[in-house]
Amino acid sequence: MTKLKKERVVSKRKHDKRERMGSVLYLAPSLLGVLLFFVLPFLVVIFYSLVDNPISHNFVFLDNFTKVASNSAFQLAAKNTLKFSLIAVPLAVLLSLGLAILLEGGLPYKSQLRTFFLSPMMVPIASIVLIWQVLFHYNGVVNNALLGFGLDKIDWMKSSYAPVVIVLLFLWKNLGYNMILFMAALSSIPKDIIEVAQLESASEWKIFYYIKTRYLSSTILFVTIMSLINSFKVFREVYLLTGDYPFDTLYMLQHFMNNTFRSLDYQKLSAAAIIMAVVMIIIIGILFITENRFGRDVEG
Amino acid sequence: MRIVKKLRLLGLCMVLGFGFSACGSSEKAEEVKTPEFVYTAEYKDMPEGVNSYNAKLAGGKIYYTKGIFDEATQMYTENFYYMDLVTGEEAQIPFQKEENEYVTSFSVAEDGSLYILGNSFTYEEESGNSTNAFKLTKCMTDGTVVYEIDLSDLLAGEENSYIQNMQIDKDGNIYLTNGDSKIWLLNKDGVQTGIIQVDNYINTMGVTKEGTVIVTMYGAEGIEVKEVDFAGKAFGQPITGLASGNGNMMIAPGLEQGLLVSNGSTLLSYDMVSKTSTEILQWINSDINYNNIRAFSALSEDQIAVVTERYSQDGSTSEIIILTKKPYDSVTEKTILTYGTLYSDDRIIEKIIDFNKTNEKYRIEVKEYGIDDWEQAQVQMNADILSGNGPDIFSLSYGASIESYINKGVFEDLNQYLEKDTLIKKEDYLENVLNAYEVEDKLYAIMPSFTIGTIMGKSSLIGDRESWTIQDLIAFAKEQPEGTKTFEYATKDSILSTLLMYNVEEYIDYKTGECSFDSESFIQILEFANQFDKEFVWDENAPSTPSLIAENKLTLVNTNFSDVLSFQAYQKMFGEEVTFIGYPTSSGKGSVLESNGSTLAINAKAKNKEGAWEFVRMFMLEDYQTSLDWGFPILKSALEDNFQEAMKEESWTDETGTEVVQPKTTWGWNDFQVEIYAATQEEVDEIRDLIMSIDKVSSYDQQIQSIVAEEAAAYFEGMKTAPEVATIIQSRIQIYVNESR
Repeated sequence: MTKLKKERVVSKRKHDKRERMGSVLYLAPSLLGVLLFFVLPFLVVIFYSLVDNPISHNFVFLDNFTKVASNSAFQLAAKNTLKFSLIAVPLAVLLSLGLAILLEGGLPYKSQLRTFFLSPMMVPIASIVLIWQVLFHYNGVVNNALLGFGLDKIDWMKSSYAPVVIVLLFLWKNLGYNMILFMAALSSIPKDIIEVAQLESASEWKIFYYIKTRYLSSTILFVTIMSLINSFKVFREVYLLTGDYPFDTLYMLQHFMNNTFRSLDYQKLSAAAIIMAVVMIIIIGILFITENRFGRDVEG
Repeated sequence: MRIVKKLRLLGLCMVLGFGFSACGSSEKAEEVKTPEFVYTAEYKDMPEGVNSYNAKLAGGKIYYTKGIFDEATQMYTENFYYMDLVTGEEAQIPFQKEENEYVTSFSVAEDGSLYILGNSFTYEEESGNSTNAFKLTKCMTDGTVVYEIDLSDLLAGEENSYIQNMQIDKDGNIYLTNGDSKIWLLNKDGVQTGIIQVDNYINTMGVTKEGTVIVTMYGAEGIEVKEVDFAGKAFGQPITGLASGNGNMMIAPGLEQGLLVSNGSTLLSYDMVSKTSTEILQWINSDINYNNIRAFSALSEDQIAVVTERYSQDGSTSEIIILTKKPYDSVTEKTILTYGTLYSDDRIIEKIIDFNKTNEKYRIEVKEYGIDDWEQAQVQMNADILSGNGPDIFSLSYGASIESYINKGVFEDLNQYLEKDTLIKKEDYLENVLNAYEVEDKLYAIMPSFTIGTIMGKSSLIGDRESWTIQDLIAFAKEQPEGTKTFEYATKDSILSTLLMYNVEEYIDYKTGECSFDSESFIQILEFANQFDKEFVWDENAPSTPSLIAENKLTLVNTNFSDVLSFQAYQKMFGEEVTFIGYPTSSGKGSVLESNGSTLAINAKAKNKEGAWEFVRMFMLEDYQTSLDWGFPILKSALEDNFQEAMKEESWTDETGTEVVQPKTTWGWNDFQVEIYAATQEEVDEIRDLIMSIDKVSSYDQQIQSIVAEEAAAYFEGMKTAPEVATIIQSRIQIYVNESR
């Protein structure tokens, strides 16, 4: 290289370096915030999961993980949470997709129906819980209706029917939001491709499966992840309905964590949290990969 | 490049994953703030014969009465005095009150004039008439009487005519209250101008520096503070911005303006204009037990005068204390030890003050967690322990999860200190009580005094047994004739709770974690508890406990006792031999030790364990153990002293010089009286044997009890059957047990 070129390269490197330092400085406050409120707590959690209890701080390495994994309360909680998510999330996605297609398909009173489905989101959770309690109490409205039909009363919240109540509550609350998202996605599918398909006399089902789902794939992923998150948050409703120690069909992971926090068993809490985080990473990783493959040709 | 992209993808997934799992808690480091100022105390003993309970402070002086009882004339005379707090000079106020009049209360206005309320009761034997006369006198410190007003018409005929408080406002108007129904308003000439009717109990009345009278009352939501509007004859402005503390407020005028308020452990100054209060000091940091305060007043910018009265076994002692404000650094530094408790115990506060006064190296500061909310207090204490800011000395009251703390290694092993101690020897103490909290040869907490909780019944009915199981109790109850009560004051919930308290091991196998609440025997307990009433209804005319027992209509009494006298009284109630069978239990004996007061422990992470031990050991020394007002001591020699005292006869000499033995105390019911004389050797031996045989400390698992009570309610109300409820209880408690394994 000529001397001039070398100088230009050197000065460019210096310039780049300064630019990078400048950007680091600008990022510093945010990075500090993330470090303090995000990264540091993780490290604390990891620390707690490696000690025998939060007061004595004796290192026991992976003992807590084996203990928690073999703890029957944790296993019950994990099983219930998984079952709930496996049932509630697909239902939430499919039902809301169905509703969205129905509404987009030219049903009358579309915007009133949309408001109707969205309104559960706006009601504060405590009020919802109160109403649900009145409905599903042992002497509540639903049981009275059952008696009217000549059937026996069901102990809704304290028997194996309890998850049914919670799934209903979950769907009631979340269908509206998911439906809106799907409606927006559906209306953004380019009409010309569909027209072409229709001209080529493709069936409705083929149009849906080959064209619409491709365009909807990122929304489906998003809705699935959101519903998955919300299915974990359902602990709040269960806690308000039944307290710290519900009947065993309703005992979720977050109950386990809440209770071990209260009894100062931070090591169990942290180990459980890390196990849960690993599982979540795997699930979300799978979802991302599926979406990547499925919607690839559409997004390019 | 694709690999980098994949790695970035993985990283993002991890970040999302961690975010969604919503885990962890973060700690906050707490700073220990050193206060800017300290109020150091100077003590002056009150002169002889002073009635400190109604001493008043005003204008830099203390006003009080001294009472003299003349044996010869059998007359009690009361004279008024005042003392200048700065010079210490005492002077008598030459006020003559009538012979048969006694002073119910007096108040001093800021200008030094005294308002004295006297009450005289005359009984004429011939006519059988009695008159209750009330007189209000205003006089100056030189004895000149300004006016005398007869208040008999005002007060005689009132249901409650005892004047609890009297205040004078800036115009010389007088406010009198009887504490529960009325405030009378009199103008400066003593003429009544109005009455304010009050619905709530009046806690106290005081006056601001500006001269407005303030009242604190027990309202619906706690203490309400209001101004009294003289002209409007009603309550005026409510006063906001004053925390009510533990509900025992005392008010005094502020130094320049507003109020000085003591709301329990803290002294505050309250500004009437800005409606805010500022903390001045914590009483205990100036070595004052707030329960002993009778009056206080601001002398100057830097000085506060306090009058205290302390009751003890030997009588009462009172002091005048002048607190002077000094910068924190000017006072010699002592190492601070923190004493943490859920609620403060008066006996311990006294000991802390003693310790702070006498110990040169250490000073104890009290941290009371439970002022507002018990649950919140537990959470806060746990948070402090976890973040390393736990108190050096713990005081654990009943209900605090002592076993859970022991399992987590929160407490220091006290055996090592006991072994090294030159004065205290373990053999000198009751072994079972001292070692109540010993786990695997390590002693984690000490109970300095105790009461015995037990169930008792006639030996003729109970038989030879010394303990029993739940099934035995249920069978016993079934054997009794129809209409016999098993326990008094019993409800479904209370019986269920009592039966389960010491029997949880029968239904939870802690080794395997298996619960058996759906078993037949647990269902039997539910059915048995269901036989009792839902709620206890107080019937004034119901026959008394002793008469029911005498007729065998009541078979068992569930109680606790803390001295020989109550033990004797219960025995007398039964009238025949009694067996202390205790609570039903699956192992050992059924009587339990209950700590009456605080159980003490030292934080394993305390920085000054030696100092903490210096404090804790004070409760084990003979000095403390022999001066307990109630509760059995744990020091064997103190217990024997206790027994000796109980066996001493009490007598008085009559006119002829003969000694007449009198009862030590009498317990009375509507239809039954019990007089208790000196204890016999047999009785004392029986108590000693009972104490030595106890092998349990009272403790119960709150969570299990609340789950059982919650679910059993459905059965008790008739909504579900016992087996259904038992299944639910089993499911819930199984989760609880599994979690903690």
